[in-house]
Amino acid sequence: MTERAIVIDGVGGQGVRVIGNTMATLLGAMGYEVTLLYDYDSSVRGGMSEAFLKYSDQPIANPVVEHADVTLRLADRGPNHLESDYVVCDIGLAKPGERAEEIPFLELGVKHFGRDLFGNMIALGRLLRLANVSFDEAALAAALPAKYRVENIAAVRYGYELTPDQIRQIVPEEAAGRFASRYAEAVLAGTDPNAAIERAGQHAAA
Amino acid sequence: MAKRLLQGNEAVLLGAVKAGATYFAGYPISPSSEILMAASVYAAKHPEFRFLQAEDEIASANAIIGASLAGAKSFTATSGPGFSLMQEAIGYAHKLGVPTVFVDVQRVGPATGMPTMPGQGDILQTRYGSSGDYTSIVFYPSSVAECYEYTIQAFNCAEESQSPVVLLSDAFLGHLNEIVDLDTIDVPIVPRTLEPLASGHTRLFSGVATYPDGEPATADADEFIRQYEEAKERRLEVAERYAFYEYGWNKDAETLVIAFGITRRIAQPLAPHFALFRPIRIWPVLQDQLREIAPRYKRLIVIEGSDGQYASVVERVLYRDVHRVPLLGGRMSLEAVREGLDRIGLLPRDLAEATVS
Repeated sequence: MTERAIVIDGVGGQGVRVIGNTMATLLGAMGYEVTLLYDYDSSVRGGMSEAFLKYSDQPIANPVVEHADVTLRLADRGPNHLESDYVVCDIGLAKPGERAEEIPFLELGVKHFGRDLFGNMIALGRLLRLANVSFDEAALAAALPAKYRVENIAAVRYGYELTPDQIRQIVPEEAAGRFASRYAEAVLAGTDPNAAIERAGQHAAA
Repeated sequence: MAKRLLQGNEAVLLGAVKAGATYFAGYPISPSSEILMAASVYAAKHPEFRFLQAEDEIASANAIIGASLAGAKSFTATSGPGFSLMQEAIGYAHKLGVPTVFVDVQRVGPATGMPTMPGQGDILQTRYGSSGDYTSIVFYPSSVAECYEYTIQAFNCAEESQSPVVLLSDAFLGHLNEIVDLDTIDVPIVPRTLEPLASGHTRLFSGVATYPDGEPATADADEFIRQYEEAKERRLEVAERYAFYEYGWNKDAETLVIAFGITRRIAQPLAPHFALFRPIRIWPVLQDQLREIAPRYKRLIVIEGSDGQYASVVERVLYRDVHRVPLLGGRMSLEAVREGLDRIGLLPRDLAEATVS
């Protein structure tokens, strides 16, 4: 097989390393050659954090990814020159002209598992599906940190099992729910209804 | 041990342990800190391995010298500014003939610079950073497996040469994870060569020029030169047994690319168009190999993460001009390599048009 290149693009504290390390460990367990390179700013929280992941059945020479097959974008801080054939990201992070799917990972994390951070495990599950990496619960358990392991595995499985139909249904439902709550908040605060519609729309896209 | 995912910095610690290291002292600094962290975790589980987080890099460097003189294989790990602080101690270790290992995971300098970004700007510092004349031995791996292998070789070479040896790395190599099987890397271990303290006779550890009996020799040029030449000869003779390098890619090409560490990995897509010379032993410079290989090529290009530090060394050794592709500001990428080659008019056409990954 030719090399496959994945980029996880986020900021410090979002779990870029956990996702990258878990994915690389799973790919290694499947017998692939893997390179995983971390590139991050020295600001630990809020600074750019990237994981460049390549896998192949042949040794990999250059570990730096400049053109990804898939990018998981948790925040938009990555290198400006990075290109990607396909982007999976949270709501509002897709750029014009990109082949992308937007999934409200953080909201799904809160809704189904009680914390937004589990949204990143849902994203990992989706990334595993897009990369055709088989879901191996035992290997996953070994690769994930001990803390919240059960919840993390459940969240990864949730993301892995999402179907395109479900994704299409989730997005309007969640975005509409967020829009409705923002609109209600704005109106209750005395905002003119037309202005409240506009403000809720901006928040929903943010 | 089966294959596993391992980080370059962790591989350095494992190589040191394999080589017989029992003492680490250091002060945390990106991008080398994982070595310190791994050493502390290892020490907690292995009481025979001693770990010191010192108050700064000066103390760390002197602590590993003391540990070596006391009988331990010792090492430290740091990065650019910390390595600068260690220079006086490195000179002291050269003066005393102390086998120990300094690991320098390079970042973008000078000063604090870009703490997590990869650089290769310490090439000349590893050779000339301390005062006076001394013979540096420096290795620079370019993969996680090599981080393990050449850490062992650095310890071996330090013992044989009875001098401090530097292992260079960089932020990308230190933070690179690869699937490795360390059991396939079999490097014989050179046993301890320096007798420990309390071996039965008096030893003097002075930075001052002295006669063998300890009397000052601070105005005796003949004695100074005798000791200097003896140390130099020993180190050069030992270094010849560690003359590691890679020569490959398209050997029939007209142009030879010289790259090392992470830049050699990033430059891999150039392979069909260029020959490659990768020095693994950075110092002493691989003069004989360069003088044998370079004349086969019309042009030489040095691709490196500094503004021509190693290129200037190659020019001096070969008495000819070389083209330079400096990768600065942490921009270690094939795109930066292509831009650099384009700037000097040596970018192959298909690489100009290709999509990179």
